[in-house]
Amino acid sequence: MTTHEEQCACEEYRELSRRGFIGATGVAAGAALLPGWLPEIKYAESQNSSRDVIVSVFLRGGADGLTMVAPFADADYYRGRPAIAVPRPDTSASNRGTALDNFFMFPPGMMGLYPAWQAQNLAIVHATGQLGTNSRSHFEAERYMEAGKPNDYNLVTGWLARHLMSSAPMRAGAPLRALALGWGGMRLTLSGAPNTLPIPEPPNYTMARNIGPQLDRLYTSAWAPARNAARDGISTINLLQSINFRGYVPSNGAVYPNTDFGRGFRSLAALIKADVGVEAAHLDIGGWDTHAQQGSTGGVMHNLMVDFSNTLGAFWADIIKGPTTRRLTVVCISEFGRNARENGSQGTDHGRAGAAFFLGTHIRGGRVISSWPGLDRAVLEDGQDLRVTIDYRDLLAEIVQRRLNNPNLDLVFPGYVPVERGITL
Amino acid sequence: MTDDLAVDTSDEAEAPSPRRTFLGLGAGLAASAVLARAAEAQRPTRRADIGTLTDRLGQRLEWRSTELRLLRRISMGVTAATADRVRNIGFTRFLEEQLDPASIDDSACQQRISTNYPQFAYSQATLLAKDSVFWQEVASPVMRSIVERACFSERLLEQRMIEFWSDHFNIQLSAPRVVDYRDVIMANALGKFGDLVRASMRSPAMLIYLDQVWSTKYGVNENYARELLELHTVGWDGGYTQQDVHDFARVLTGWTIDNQRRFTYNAGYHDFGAKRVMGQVFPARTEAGGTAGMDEAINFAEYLIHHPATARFICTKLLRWFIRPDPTAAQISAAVAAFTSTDGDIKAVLRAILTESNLASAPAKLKRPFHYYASIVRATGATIDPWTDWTTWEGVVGHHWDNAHAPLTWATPDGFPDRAEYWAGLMVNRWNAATSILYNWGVPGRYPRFTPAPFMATATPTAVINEINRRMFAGEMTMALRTELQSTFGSATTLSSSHVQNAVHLAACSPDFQYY
Repeated sequence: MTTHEEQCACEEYRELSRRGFIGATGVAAGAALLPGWLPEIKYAESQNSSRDVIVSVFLRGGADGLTMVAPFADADYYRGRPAIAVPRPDTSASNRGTALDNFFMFPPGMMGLYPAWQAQNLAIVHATGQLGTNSRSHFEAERYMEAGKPNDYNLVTGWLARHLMSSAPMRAGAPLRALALGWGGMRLTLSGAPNTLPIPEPPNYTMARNIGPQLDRLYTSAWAPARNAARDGISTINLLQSINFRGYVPSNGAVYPNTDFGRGFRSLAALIKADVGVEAAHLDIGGWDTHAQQGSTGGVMHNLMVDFSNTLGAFWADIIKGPTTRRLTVVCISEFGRNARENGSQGTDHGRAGAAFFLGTHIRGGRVISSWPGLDRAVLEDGQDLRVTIDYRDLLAEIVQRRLNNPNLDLVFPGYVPVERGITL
Repeated sequence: MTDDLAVDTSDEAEAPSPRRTFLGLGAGLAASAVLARAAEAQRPTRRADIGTLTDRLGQRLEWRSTELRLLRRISMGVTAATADRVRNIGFTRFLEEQLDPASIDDSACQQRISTNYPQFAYSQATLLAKDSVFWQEVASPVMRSIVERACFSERLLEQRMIEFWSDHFNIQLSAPRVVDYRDVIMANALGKFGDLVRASMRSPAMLIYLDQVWSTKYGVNENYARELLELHTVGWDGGYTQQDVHDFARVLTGWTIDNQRRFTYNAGYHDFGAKRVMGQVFPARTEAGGTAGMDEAINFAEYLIHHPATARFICTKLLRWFIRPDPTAAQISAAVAAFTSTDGDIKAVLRAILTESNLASAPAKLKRPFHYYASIVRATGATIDPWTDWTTWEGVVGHHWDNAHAPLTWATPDGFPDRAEYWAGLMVNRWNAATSILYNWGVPGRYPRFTPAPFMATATPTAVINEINRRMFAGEMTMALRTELQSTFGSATTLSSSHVQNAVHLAACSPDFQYY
């Protein structure tokens, strides 16, 4: 470690202490709490590091992996879904799928990601999900997944937040290390992260009447989390106003859909290219709770997949494809998949395993990674759902360790010993 | 009368040091209880508490008056008049008055809504006819009426309970949701919990939103059955299995709507086969018409309404809403006892929750954006003129969208979060909302209208600060804010309108005003 890096780590140490511990330690078991785990943290490499920028996407509502990456070679897929299955690639149906290998295919709505797949920058993991819980409740399953730990309602920080807590900033003094884009407050994935804000629309982030200095003084003595958000917000306004979002021209002719999700990624690309120290971002794409009239190849889910794949396809072309290589990884997960069989209203109810997507130049792409458990009723979980064979934490932990250079896996995914699945190069 | 209530201690200006935290707590609770609670909070998952303990233990030194603590917690924000009222009639009488909203004259607010926003009162038939233009013609005035009711209703606690149940039985805004909001949520906000469940089960908006209308014996849809258990009654840890969810969905088959979008039961859709839900057995029956089979879900709803897990789930959630994010076992037990002994009487539960001792130790809570907005309008005396042009931008609902808290727009059935860490990041958006209320933007009605005149009857710095303290903080302003306000006035001895306007704005944006 250089002196500078050491200093950086110390600063982060102090920051962590100030934000998280003073309140607790002052009152009660400070001495017992502090040495318990803090000194165990080995900070990830600092601003000179070669770690990736990480983008986390949450498909909210339980995305149907059996449609997004459909197993056309599994006859039970067609038996269980007579009305909503995607036609095989070797049929002449106009809405047929496109084969990814000899088993899985993209439906038409996912084809926005096909160029990234062909470039081997996209890896798909199938029959993945949560091994630590079999909850089919959105809110419970989302909570556990975003927290990075199942069955713990007390854990109020997210997995990505704890990665940031245990890493020195990629750039020392960066006012904004991470952000959640899109409408809403702070998603749990990033909850508790230092120098991190929900910013619905970065181009419009401004103060109608700027009394920043006065508010900064007042909020210095306020409590977390309002203190941190207020002070980070004031410094971030200046940062974002230095970036020309409206005049941003994506590379390689990439066109982002004019949707919340598309505009969010467009702003994010501008922000990353501006190189202001943003090292993590989170975006939600909602609406995957397709209980009725699912529309796998035309309709609600088709339109969602078009938004999802065209946005990520544009982001890939704009910022990952090159010629300028950026160190960047995108991870896309959902709280659970959906029933193997369709329900009475041409939709699917809450299930278990689904698909996860990983995008980047250092992703071992062009592959669907799966130990396919099958869709025969006898092997389905509770007789109805695709079995989880790979815990999602195996995949995220590999990204955290290999692409984010953060060795503190026990902090990011408490109590879990991940198995490496080889999704990174 | 205001200054003697303010706690002008220099401790307040410091960062939350151990000493300050300890002193703050000492004021509210016995130190031993604090230590016990801190230890309890740490026990399950030490690491879990990063970043939350400070807030869990966060006390406001300056909040000395328990009466005012009650007022803050059961209202959309203090005003000088309501602060005077609670001081005059005392804690118990004020709470009882608020628990009996019919006793409070709210005609001015009711008149405002019915005159300016008739869309809120549209009949079922009118709403059905307007379905295709709902978002152009009905949605915004309905949302605006909800915002204005929060700003101007004198039935303070009722408004807080409507907000609570609206989230508890959340339905994303739609034409039928307007009927649900009126006939299910508002009508039962201070009634019996069981009546809320019974009405909600017969609410077309809910049955459409959670796909119950699709669920038949030919193919069940589990969506509503699951959320009725998980979100509405026994809670996520209420002890049911996936098989219970599935069979409950079968029990509910036949509960649907007719072609006029009214609730109806259709025995032709009902699954008369044998079912078992949470140990309750439904034997196979002979298929029949009429209301045959409807009794199954009616009876099971009664089982859920009276299930101990339901009492615990609802009481814990109410304690989080009114008192603290981590209610103690004793606080929960007291509320559950009230719930159980009164067949879920919401007023009785609130009496058990809104006690002087619970409020005295309650940590400060971050206002959600909707609450924050209303509290500025209320405290500053801002007015809101009528608005009718829903085809152009208007800033009252508009700023709620900007704060991600436009009424009834939460997409999923869990309702807007009641967690500070979710909302706190949007401070800049909040400040912009404050600016839009206080700077008289645009044509009348597009934004609220504010005049600083009431704050400057005597236009000296001290008098104006005292007036801000009295109107916006019920006399319990911090020294840190007082100092900052004084410094903004510089050496001026007589203040201009814009001085005062800026000072009120700074106070509304200050940390003190974010909490209640």
